[in-house]
Amino acid sequence: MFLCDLQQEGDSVVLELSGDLTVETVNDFVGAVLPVLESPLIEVRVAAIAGFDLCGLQSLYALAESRRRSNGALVFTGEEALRRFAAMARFAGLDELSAASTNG
Amino acid sequence: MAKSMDPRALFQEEAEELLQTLESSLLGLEDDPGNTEHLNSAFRALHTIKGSATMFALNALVGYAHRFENVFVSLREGNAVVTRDLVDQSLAARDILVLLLRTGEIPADVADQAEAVMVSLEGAVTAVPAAAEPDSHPRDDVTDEADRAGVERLLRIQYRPSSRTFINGTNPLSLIRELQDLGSTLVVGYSREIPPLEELQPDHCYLAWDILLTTDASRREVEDVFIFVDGESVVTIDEVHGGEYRRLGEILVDRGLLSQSDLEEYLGNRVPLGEVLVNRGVVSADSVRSALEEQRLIARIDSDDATSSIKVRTRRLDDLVSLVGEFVSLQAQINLTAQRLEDRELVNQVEQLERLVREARELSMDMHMVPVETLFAPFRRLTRELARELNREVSLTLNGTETELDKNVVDQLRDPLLHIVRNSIDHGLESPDARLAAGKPREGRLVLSAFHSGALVMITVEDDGAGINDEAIRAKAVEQGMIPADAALTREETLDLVFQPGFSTAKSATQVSGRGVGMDVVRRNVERLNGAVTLSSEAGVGTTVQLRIPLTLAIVEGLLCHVAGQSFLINLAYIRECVDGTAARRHSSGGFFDYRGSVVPLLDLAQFYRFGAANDDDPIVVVAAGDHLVGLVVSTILGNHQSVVKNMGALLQHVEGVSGAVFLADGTPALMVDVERLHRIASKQNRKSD
Amino acid sequence: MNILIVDDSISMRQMIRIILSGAGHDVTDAIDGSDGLAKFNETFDVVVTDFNMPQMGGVDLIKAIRSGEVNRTVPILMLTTESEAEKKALGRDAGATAWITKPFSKESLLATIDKISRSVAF
Repeated sequence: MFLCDLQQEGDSVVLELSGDLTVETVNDFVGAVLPVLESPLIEVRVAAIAGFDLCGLQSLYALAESRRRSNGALVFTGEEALRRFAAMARFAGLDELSAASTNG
Repeated sequence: MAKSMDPRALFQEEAEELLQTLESSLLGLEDDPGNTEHLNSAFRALHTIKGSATMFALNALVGYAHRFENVFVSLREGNAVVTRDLVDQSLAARDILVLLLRTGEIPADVADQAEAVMVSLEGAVTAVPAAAEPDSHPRDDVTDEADRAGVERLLRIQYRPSSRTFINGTNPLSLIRELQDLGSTLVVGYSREIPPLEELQPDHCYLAWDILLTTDASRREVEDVFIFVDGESVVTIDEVHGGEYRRLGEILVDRGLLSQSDLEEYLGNRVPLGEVLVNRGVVSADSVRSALEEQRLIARIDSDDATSSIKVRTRRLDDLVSLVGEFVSLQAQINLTAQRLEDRELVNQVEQLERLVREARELSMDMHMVPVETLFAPFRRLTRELARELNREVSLTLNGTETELDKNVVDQLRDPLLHIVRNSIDHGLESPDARLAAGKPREGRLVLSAFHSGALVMITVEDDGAGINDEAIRAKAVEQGMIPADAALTREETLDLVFQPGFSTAKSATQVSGRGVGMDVVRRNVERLNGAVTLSSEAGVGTTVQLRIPLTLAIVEGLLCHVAGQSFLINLAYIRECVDGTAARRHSSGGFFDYRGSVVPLLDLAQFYRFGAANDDDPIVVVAAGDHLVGLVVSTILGNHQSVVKNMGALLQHVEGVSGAVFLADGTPALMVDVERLHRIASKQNRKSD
Repeated sequence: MNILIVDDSISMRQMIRIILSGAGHDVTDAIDGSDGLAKFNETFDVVVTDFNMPQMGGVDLIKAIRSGEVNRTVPILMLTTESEAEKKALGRDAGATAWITKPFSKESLLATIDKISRSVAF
């Protein structure tokens, strides 16, 4: 179960993710984000994410990479979920997501 | 019919049914030899019987069914055609299976017949592989000579999962976890292949890993972790031979990322190798990072088993440290260039490079670190010997011996520390009788501690001896002509007199002179390390000497400032905050300002170094020396700068307030501000000016 | 865990059921690939399937699950009597997560299931 609630707030876009971001649901996530990729600011609220796997994590890196290339601002919020993302990234020897993201 | 719950009994029933099916299929084939449905059905029946029978270890049945099944494999593949004779023989073979199922083995009286039937079946189908036993032990326990279980070694595992890995239900994290179960791991993940979102195939795997595993598991056990990875995934497992530090280039060549001839070519450039390779796109930044991690790990393993050959390695490490130092300097230059050019792509790349440089710097510093244990350990014996010699009873406690410190620093701390410990035992700790009389235990306590505090290491020598009587020190100092008889000194300043040259000239160290012996030498040695030494004491309770030492001598991260057009670097380890000069509330005397609710002395660097005087609105860099804050007034603050600190030549060694020099990106020198020394000068000056 | 067993041999199914339920797993049986596909849903944590079966074999079942909509990345353990690399490769190319060769011990079945289903929690 995965939901990506998308809200336009002025120039910026807030993605409220809830449920599991995994290889099963990653297509839904990418599908939801692609249309708003050009927004000046994307805020990804991951607070309500219950479960995620390496594939889900990978899609967030891809989002960060997109934003980095287009110089668009990207902010991840949701302390608990981010802490878990970071723990997974550390375990996998990857850069932490916050390092991969551009904070606008 | 109620089926039994016992699988063995169920198998018996099931096999009887399957043999019935087999018979019907064979009879069907007899009528219609080309009927593939009958052929497949017969094959499946045999296959299922064989498969289940293996589970119940009915080996004779399995063996016979296997050969029988092979005949049908051949028939299905069209290597032979079904003939009447073949069906006859098959029916005979089927009856033998029934016998086997009921009795468990071929009765002796039909053994020859059973073999004859099977041989004739096998002969009827050409291209049937020679009857082989079912391969029930595909993975024989062959022990490879290199496959030494029980011996700890370092394996480098390169794991490049295929893009289908996620879809195939494989979780690379669980493989990593399994490796962790086998030993200690260092995991370097590669995320650089992840494309931007618009190009992402969401469920493809773009990640890859290098894993360094220190394990005593056999190679087979390690390979077993990856037994199920799909054919397009790449897994290589190499043993890394530790015991010797290896250069970055060797590791990259070893990993097949770089050819030996290319390596030699790039090495000719006299620029740090990692940088050259990354810049030219020869190898990726991640690869360099991973190789550097390997280097670091090996260095750590090597330092774990310190042997007599350490001198050779230390020199090599020194080479690396100085190489990285050059790297750091060059990085700073590139940073400036990138900023000047305002080229976004270049800035991005430089940011990546900066991250690498930071890691390389940490790595090289790390490799240079040794635990304080190596410094403290000799004191166990020394304390005992000194105690006996001086008729003291001393119990020594060592704390924080795992704290790491630059090896060069450790080497230069031995003498100062020896002085301090000797003083503690000789002049600090009382004789057992005196201690008893003072209501203390006979045995004096001496504690050596080390701990990290930011970029500094604190080393303390603490005793519970008589402490220092500052009246006595004062009297001594007056007698030596070091201070006027009416000098107004704080307690701290009084204790600081102990470190003055001249104070130690007392003919014989006494209770009064306290710490007289060699304390000026101690301070000089410690300051040579850009460190500081302070003393605190309470009469009757004890004395504590604290050394504050920078973690490393090699590379310093500092704040670059201009003072009247000259460049100065202030070690970041000391900096609390930079204060906007226009907003600072300076006292009318000019010697102090208000800083976060307290009054802090100001030191005008321009004036101090005799370049002139600062403006009233010049920025202030607040530095902390121990618990004391000082505001250093500079002309402008330029930014952070990492650099190798060069020693000043012999001529300039004793210039006050300067602890070394660095070269800036444009090749001009900048002087390192000696914060510890300036602090003492500032507090002295300001007391005078009040 | 919730495990789907697909095997045309009732004794194999029974034996695996006893091993797995004894280890605390919930087990659902299917008699061949098409039955397995019909019963397959998002609740299964692992699928254990035979290679050769009437109606739909193991390889086709794996392909169907992997190209389906639901739970398509479920770990799938393939049972085989074939130790030949070629057969393993067939299953692997179809998307099997792991395989185990008959005969297998209770311990190796449980260990293999544990290996492929082991989630790493954060």
